[in-house]
Amino acid sequence: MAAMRGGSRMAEAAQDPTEERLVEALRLLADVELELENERLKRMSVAGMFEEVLGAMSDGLILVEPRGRVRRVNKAAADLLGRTTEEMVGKSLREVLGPGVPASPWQLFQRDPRGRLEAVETVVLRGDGEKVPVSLSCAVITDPNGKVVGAVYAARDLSQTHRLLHELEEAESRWRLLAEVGDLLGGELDPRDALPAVCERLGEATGCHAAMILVREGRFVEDVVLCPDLDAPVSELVAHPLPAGTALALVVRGARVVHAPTLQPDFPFGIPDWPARSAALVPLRARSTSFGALLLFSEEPGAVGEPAVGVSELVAARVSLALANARLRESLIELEAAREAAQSRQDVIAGLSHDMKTPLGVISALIEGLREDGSPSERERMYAAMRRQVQRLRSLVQQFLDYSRLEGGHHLEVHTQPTDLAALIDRAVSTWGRNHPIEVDLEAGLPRAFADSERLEQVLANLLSNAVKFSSPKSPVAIAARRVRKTIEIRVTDRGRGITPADLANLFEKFHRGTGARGTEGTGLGLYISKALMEAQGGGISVTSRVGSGSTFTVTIPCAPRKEREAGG
Amino acid sequence: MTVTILVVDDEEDVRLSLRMMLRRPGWAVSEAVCGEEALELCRRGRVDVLILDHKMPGLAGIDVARILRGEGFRRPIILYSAYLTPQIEATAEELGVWAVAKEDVEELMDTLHDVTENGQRKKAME
Repeated sequence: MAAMRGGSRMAEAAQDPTEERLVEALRLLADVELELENERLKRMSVAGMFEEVLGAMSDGLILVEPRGRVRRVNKAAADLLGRTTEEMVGKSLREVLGPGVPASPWQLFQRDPRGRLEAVETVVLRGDGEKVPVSLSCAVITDPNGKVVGAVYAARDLSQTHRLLHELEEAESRWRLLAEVGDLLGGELDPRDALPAVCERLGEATGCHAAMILVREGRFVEDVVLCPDLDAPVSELVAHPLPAGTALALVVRGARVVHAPTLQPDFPFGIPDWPARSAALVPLRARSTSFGALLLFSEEPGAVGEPAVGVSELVAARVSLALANARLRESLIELEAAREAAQSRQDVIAGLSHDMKTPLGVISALIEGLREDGSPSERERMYAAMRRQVQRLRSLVQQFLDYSRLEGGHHLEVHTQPTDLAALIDRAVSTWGRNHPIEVDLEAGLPRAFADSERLEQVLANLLSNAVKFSSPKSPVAIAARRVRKTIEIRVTDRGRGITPADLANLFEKFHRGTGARGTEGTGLGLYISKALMEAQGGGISVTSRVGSGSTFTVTIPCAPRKEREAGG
Repeated sequence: MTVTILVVDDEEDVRLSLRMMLRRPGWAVSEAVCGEEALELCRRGRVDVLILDHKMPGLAGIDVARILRGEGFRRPIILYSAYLTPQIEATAEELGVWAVAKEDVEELMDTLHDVTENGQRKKAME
């Protein structure tokens, strides 16, 4: 280059020295211009880069003059505020961001001595009037001499964050509601008892009324559950079938949700005069079984919205599962009860057939015995024994008939009439006193009782046979009768082992056999039937006992027919 | 030689019916009303065959049989009861005791003939 330049200078100098100086000056000028241009270009590209960075930033940036007028904004700020750059530049910041924002460096200094705010949550106004939650950071800008030249505002849109937070809160409140519903359902032995509280809780959570309509086999069932604060006309519907072509029938049968945010008063709900103007019906269904419907409703049109329906569906699922589990438990209990009843019937039949063996054996042996030679008195004793055993068989058959009748839910038939108790007690004692000492104590002048003599004898036979059965062989049994006001009281006492308090409590129940009854015959029906027989005769039976000292059974029988007794007071 | 049969039952009609049925040449019937009395009579050694009710006040029939076997009583024992269960029958089998249902008079007679006339003592512990 130097060689070239030197060469041309030499060539130009050879032309004219003045012209040579001029060329030199022009060249210098061109160099300066070039440098200036370079400098300008350099400055321009920094400014361009700055613009590009501003444009790419996701936060909205606003630059203001010292007096609070907008000088520059980036694209993000224009998007956030819903205004064009032209609409904003030159306006006061208060006009652009709305009230509530420190709108000038001066106001910034008032808020903070350094003139800075960092990540303050506030709300700004968009051009269309909508409020946008933002996180706002701002700072006053000064030159190297400390003179305020403006301020910069950075706004970050928080709507997305707020939406997520809101969704999180909603999810949490749903979760809390479901947990509470679960607790309510689990807190009751029968989940149906928890349904009013569940309705109340769902009503609170949705701001609507909640109710549950329970249905079984297509009919309204008794325990229709309504929201506690609504007196709806549903009770008349109990046991009626679901009305066809109604929303309720559609929901229950079709297992579909029906949501009617706004409805007319004549909407075919399925429940007459239902006061709802906005409603959702959600099926209660689990394990392919329909339990009815959950109703969410309001007297305000439009009040039942999508979120409320969503929550209701979750609650309905939880309730249905609890109802399904309860029904499963119920059917298991029913099955167990049926199994026990069948077993009991089998036990009764087995017990009776065992009890029949002894009299049958005695009669068979006596028939064999009659074949042998014997004295007339021996024969007479055998016939008497046969008659007793036939009577015993007959009473076992009677017991079975009585049992069948009571099992079928019927009362025992009795034919009461004035009855001489002394003669009746005598007969019972002659039968049961053959093998065991029985002491008899009858009050003198005992009036006649109003009783069914055969049935009363059956009861006394049962009591005496029990007393003998539970006494040691030499320990006497006592029977006593006396008048007590308008009744006669017969007491059968033994000095046997007595009855424990636990056995005493359900002594007169079907199949009850006391712990002491093991190793003795019997079906456990005797006292159960005796009680039914005494009640049928207008009397009663009771017991007192002490373990180790024996028991006393007391039978009371009226002295007059029911009508006379009632008339007499 | 007379065979002494002891009938043990708390019911008088049962004892009467068996006493009448067993009036056969060569058989003599004696009676006891409970297990305790039966033990006494057996211990005195005047019993050849025992007909024993099971359900009685006091000692049950199977317990009487157990005590007697424990004391070395080797004569035939027939448990004659209306309340035989598989467990009682199993215990009877273990003790070498015949078990006969109470309404089955024929089987009782057959068993008696077996243990007396034919002299079979298969179940007695000899």
